[in-house]
Amino acid sequence: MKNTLFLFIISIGIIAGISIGYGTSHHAINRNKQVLGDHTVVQNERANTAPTLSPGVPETITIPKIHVSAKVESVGMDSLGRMAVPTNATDTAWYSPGFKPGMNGSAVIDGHLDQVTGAPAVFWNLKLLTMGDTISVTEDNGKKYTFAVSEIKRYPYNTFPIKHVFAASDVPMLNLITCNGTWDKTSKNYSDRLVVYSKLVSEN
Amino acid sequence: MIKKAVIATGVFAVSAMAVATMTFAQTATPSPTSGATTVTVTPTTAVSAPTSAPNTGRVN
Repeated sequence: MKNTLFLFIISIGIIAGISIGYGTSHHAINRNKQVLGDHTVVQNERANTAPTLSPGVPETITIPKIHVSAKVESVGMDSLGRMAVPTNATDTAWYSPGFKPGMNGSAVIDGHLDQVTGAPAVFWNLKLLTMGDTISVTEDNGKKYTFAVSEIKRYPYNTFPIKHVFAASDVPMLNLITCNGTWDKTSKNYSDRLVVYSKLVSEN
Repeated sequence: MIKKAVIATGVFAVSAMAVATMTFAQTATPSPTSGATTVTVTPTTAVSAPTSAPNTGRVN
């Protein structure tokens, strides 16, 4: 009789233990799911506030201050690993393997300073831009991004901060590059580069 | 009788802890592919940035 009572008490203990343990763990799991769920909502809210990325491709660039209205070519790198340049004096070129104008990051567009004849090219007057001047890029689908100049820098070619100019960013940037300094006949290269940094101010 | 009660209480406690631990470990660990725990890392530079600046002078 005593052994039966003992087994009965042990059985009740095991059953009660399993029940309470299972309930406790599920309560913890539900709390964990709730936390994960809230986290998901926060991430979705962040995604909804991020700039909308248009599927279009940059087609034209306009810089009212220096009367530039030019076609934008899409380029990559040349055989030496440099950012490629537009095919003529009047076009500009967007570095398409990098960031696109309007998305978070540094989009880069370059343009020639001059021609072999000495005549000015599309970015001849880029050096005249000042803080706050606007630059607009329009895509082939009509989407337009307008940027305001935030910084203008001149770098020696040999110490050009390539990672900085092409860097990721929390905001959409557009960086324009052209030549500057003195022409070297031997290397057929200018001594410096001018970079105009700008930040997105509107899109429509 | 007291000894039996102590044994029963011990069995109760051990059972509860064991079941709670096993159940939580099996089901509360997020799946590696769970979207809720995915963290997006922003690269410091463009994926394939060029190695040097463009030559934008004296085009033909």
